[in-house]
Amino acid sequence: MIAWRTRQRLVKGALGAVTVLFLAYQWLPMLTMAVLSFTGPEGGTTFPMRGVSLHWYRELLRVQMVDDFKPPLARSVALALACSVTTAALALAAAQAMRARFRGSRIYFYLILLGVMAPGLLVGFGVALLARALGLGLAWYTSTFAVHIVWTLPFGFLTMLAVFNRFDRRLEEAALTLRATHWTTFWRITFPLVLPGVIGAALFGFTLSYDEFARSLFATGPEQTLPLVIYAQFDRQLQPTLYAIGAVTTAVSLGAVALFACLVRLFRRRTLTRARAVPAPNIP
Amino acid sequence: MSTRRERSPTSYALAGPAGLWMLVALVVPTLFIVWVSLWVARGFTLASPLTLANYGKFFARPAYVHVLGDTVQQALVMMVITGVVGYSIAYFLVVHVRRPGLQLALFLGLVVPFWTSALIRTIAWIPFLGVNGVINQALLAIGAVDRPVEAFLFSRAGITLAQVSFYTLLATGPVVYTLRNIPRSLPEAAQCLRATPLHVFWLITFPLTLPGVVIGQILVFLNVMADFATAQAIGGHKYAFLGNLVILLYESGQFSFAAVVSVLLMTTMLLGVALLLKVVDIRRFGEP
Amino acid sequence: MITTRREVLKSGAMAAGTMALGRIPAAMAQGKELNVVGATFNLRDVILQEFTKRTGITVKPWLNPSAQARVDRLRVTPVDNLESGADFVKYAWEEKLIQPIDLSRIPNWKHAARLFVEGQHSPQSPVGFGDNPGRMMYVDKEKTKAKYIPTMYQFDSVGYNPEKIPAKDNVLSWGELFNPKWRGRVALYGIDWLGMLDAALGMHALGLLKAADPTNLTEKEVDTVILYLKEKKKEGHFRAHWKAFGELVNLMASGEVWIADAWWPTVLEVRKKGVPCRYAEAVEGYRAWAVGSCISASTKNLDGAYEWINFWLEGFAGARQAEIGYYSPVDTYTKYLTPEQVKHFYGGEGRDGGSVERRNAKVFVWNTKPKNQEYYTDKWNEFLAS
Repeated sequence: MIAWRTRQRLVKGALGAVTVLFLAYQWLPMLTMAVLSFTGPEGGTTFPMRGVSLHWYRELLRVQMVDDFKPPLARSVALALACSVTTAALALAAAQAMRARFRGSRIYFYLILLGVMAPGLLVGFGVALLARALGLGLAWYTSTFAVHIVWTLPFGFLTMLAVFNRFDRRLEEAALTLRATHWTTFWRITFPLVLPGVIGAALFGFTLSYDEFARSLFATGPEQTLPLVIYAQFDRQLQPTLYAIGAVTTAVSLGAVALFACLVRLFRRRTLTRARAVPAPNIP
Repeated sequence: MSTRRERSPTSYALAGPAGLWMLVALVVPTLFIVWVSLWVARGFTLASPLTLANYGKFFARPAYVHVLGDTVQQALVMMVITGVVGYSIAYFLVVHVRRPGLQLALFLGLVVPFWTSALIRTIAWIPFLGVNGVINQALLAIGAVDRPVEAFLFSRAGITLAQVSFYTLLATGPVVYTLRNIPRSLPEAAQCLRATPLHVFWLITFPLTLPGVVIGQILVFLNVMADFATAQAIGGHKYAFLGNLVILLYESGQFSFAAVVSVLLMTTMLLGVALLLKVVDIRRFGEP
Repeated sequence: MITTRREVLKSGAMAAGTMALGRIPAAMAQGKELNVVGATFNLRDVILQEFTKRTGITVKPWLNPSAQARVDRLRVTPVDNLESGADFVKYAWEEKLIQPIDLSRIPNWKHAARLFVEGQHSPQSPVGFGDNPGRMMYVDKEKTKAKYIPTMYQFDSVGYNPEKIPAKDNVLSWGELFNPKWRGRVALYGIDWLGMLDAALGMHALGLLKAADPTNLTEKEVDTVILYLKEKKKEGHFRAHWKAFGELVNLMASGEVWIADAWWPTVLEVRKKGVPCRYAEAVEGYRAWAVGSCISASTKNLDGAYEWINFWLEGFAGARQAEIGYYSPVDTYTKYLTPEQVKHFYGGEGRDGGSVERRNAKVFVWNTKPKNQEYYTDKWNEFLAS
């Protein structure tokens, strides 16, 4: 019989190995992409590399009409941020509502989930035809936004449901018995506790919207989002400019994350100092 | 709000916005797709008469039924793989990694790749898995193989490999949340009562994380069922799942039949979710 | 009238407000914008910029690798021009999504190559099976109106890596695509009707198929082709199928694929990446096609649409497309190319496959969407599901 402690360590090692291997599996293609983004002007999107240069980054910066990636990139980011906030808000509200088990909540659940089940291409086409019938135009900040939320909301909703499922409502009840209003209870008890879920929903909203292209294909007006522009590139040539974009967005994400971490640490330090400044209550 | 009386007006008000959005932006186009699937006309004619025969046409062709079966099979395989890998990673992150900083760093390490467009990552798989790619060069260098392995790319195995990369996070995320919410006292209490670690896991931890597992499985199931881009790009256009079938039919101008396949896809997904919910009814809340 | 400062401020605010809302009088806006649907191999930066420079019209391109998606774009939103090949022009015409083009407004069409006026380069040249643009593009017998104006064309055969695949005098048969020696190194086009057409050409070359018209196979002939393809798939003959330009360049430049039913510009791109690649002269003949511009039925800028077409035939666009390997139906490009370049691109000096004349003499089929397209799709899906 293997000792308990050793067994613990083996299990930990095995799980750790799985995690590390998976991380490597995720990041190796990213590194490949980063390395290839520095290929020379004659290089393509595959090995062997032909020289080393910043050529493709320069190409990215050059203002171009058809191949310009910067406006679509800006649009995609803006759209993703909007989707992020909207998804988090709508998912939170919907999950809260579900807890009350209102009439029709079963159908409501499937209604929200329908967003993931309907195939994107035809939903986009349906929305576009509908817009045409109503005489409305298509644009990335209207029709595309609408179909993106349809796609991201189920994910956020499921996340919030998962979080609420493990939520101890006695905390809320306690607050209510102490004569807090429902709103106060929500804002000071419920919300901070489910915040990880809200952030998760927001993350889903951002990531899924940023990447979405099946639904956007028909529902977007002449001003396209980034994935659509990339998809259009398949037709001509897959330039390492795409890799440059990938490398840049990864770098920006890492930067944003680092910034966020620093801010959190700063915030925490300040709250701690403030807490220490409050004198302890004198309880007889 | 479980603290409110059930069916209170507030709950309807809260549910309203999301519900309305889905109705307008999704239900109506979906009904449109269902309507198109009933068209007799081959092409695009809004004034077409309706029939149910198109569905019969789908099931009359063994190749199409085969595609349906194939897609479901792929989804099940992916659910198992992502379930196991996802749970392992989640467990490791929450239980074994003590420092919250490291925990967050690892979690972000999993999430950050998703902020790079999936299309670009898909393109990057070719130099990664191809015959002249990184993996094959490494294998050749260490002498594990004497010629490059072709099966990584443009094959069913390749599609599965790529999908594991894209979808495991969906299975990991919800499990992480549910794992974190287990109070430390529970496993400790069990151990005081002389339960082995295996018992603790199987009888305490795992059942408590079951909602997270089910949600993760639902997400993976839905995504793999609808996936067409990965199958197309990594599979080299050699394979057809239901999602690809929709596009192929659309490309040849058969709108009504493409709609039929869409409806069947949606129905299968609905059935799958209903089945998965039988395991854990995640719509019930606040129950200790 | 004394203008008070308040009124000046008010009118200034109004002007600023109007500009902020971006509301230019509708008519002016329409004349200055052109919605064009096409692909990245014709809606190229350099051409669009020149067009805007000359006419002041801003082009709003909508790009998509899928020909079907491009046509369907016309259903959902007003478009001015659609760039399409003869195959989908037929489809768009039947669906009444495009309108006839008045040839009297296209002065340069008088100089069009005989290929596009009579359907044959010379009276002895083969007409070729299928939708010959010179025959099907005209609406009426007098040839005063057209469904579309071809702006670029080419003759397709087989692209291959000469280091891996030997070819005497750069001549290969379509059947080479099915040579078992190249198992696992072949790419075939992935859209059902075109993939099957190329497969039919290959099988025809190997004597495995006797089709009266390879572009319009009967159901039995389709069955024969699919059966053969399924066998080949089981053997692992195809490394991948390709649907978009960039995909094939990737496949050949990374060494995954040695031979494919490629397009000429893909061969050029692969060579640029340092991988040897040549375009063979097909023993049985070429598969030709012509992509051009149509005017959408829903256009709001008819004059702009005609300007667009005329610009394409004026010569600048033709010259730029010649540089990446496409021919122009009108010889106005000579204004923008050096004589050496003309000799190279059109005269065939130092170019695979020889001159335009030589290719014209070997036209075998044209890109055609078959009459029983549905049967093709069903069978191709069967092939994919196997």
